Amino acid sequence: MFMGQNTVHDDQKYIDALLQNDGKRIQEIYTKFAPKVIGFVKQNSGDEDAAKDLIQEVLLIIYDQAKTKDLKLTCPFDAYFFMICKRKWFTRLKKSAKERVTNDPLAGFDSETLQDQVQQTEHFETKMQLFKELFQKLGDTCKEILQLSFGSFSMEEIASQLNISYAYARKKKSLCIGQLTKWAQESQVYKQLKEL
Amino acid sequence: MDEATTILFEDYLEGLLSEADRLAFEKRLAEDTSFAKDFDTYKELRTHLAHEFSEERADFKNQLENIGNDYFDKGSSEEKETKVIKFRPWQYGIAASIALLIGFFVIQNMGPAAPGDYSFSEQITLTERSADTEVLKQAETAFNEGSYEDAIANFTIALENDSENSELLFYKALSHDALAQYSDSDSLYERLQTGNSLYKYKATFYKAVSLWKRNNIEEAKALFRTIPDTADEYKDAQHILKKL
Repeated sequence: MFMGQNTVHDDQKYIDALLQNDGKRIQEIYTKFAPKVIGFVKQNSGDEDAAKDLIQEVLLIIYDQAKTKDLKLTCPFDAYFFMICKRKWFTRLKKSAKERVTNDPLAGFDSETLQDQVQQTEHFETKMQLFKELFQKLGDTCKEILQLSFGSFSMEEIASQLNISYAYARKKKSLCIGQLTKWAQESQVYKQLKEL
Repeated sequence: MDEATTILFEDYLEGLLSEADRLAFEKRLAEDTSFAKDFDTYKELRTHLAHEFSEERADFKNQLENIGNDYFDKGSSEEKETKVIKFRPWQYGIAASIALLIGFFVIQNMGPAAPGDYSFSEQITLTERSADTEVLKQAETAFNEGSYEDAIANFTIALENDSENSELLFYKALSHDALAQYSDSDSLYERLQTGNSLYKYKATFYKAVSLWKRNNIEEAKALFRTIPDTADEYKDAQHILKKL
């Protein structure tokens, strides 16, 4: 991985807008940055609906990273956002195998800072994907307890809803996260990401 | 990692350990690499789950979808319309002069402002979701036809499954306002004003217009003043403030 500059870019304002769920600024993100992505998707076997889904997915991932990993932007938002969309789109095309991608779409970074930033987001997404898959492997009680306890329910409410004792609900919650921890540590993907 | 360790992690993160236990925990974190590694992963997963299932994320996702739909449904059609008019550089000057003349003419001929001039008069198109499409269609038609009681009934049903949907809350507020049910409209406007949705300043603006309609001029003015220059409603708000 390249060592990028650590100065926060002025475009951090767009990351902050996502963090604050600032409707006006998010609209601005669409107005300023969506046309380029739409144009690119359309030129590469996609349509407007596909571009719409792609943009929403990418903005959500950036938001998730900003919320849980304190994402600080060190390059222009335009290049960062477009590069993530572009790479994600090409990966999708490759997977669907409908299109033969001849040139290497994963090259073409303007700067090391950009490459570093984009890779961090991609690694973050891979990890989130893994966590989601592991969650699906849990039993129903675990899923329910975790979903409710991290939603807006108190442990008392959850215990009464699931007809279990408060003490058991609390214990179960930590054991369920413990199970996920164990699975994550056993996963090759997680190990590789940790080494980066 | 045994059960006791897992429970200890949770108690530490929940802040349930005594001072002495907490210090012992932190000492072990600093000294025992394997313990620290387990804790890091546990904490990372816990952070992920807390975020994934938070209402805040659900609200964000909801608003993102609304803005996206709005941009693609309305934005792209506007784009198509604007594409018809293509100016050459020299034409901008002429267009600007004409706009200036029209503006001047309009200002010269403008009478005193009335709240009715600013009441909401657009036809609405609600953002469709997979669920409740029928209810939304009925709400939309009723609102556009001015059958506000029917519109409110349908907005209420739609909001049962989507209680934080700012678009629906806003049009429901306008419907109550149109029926002079001001306590209902005010509470909905206020809910949107305190949030951070696209409708924050729209709600502020229309609540101010509503207060003006009720002759609460001072309150209306105070509210118009809170609309920032970044909001679409800023110009109208400033114009009204001058008139009031």
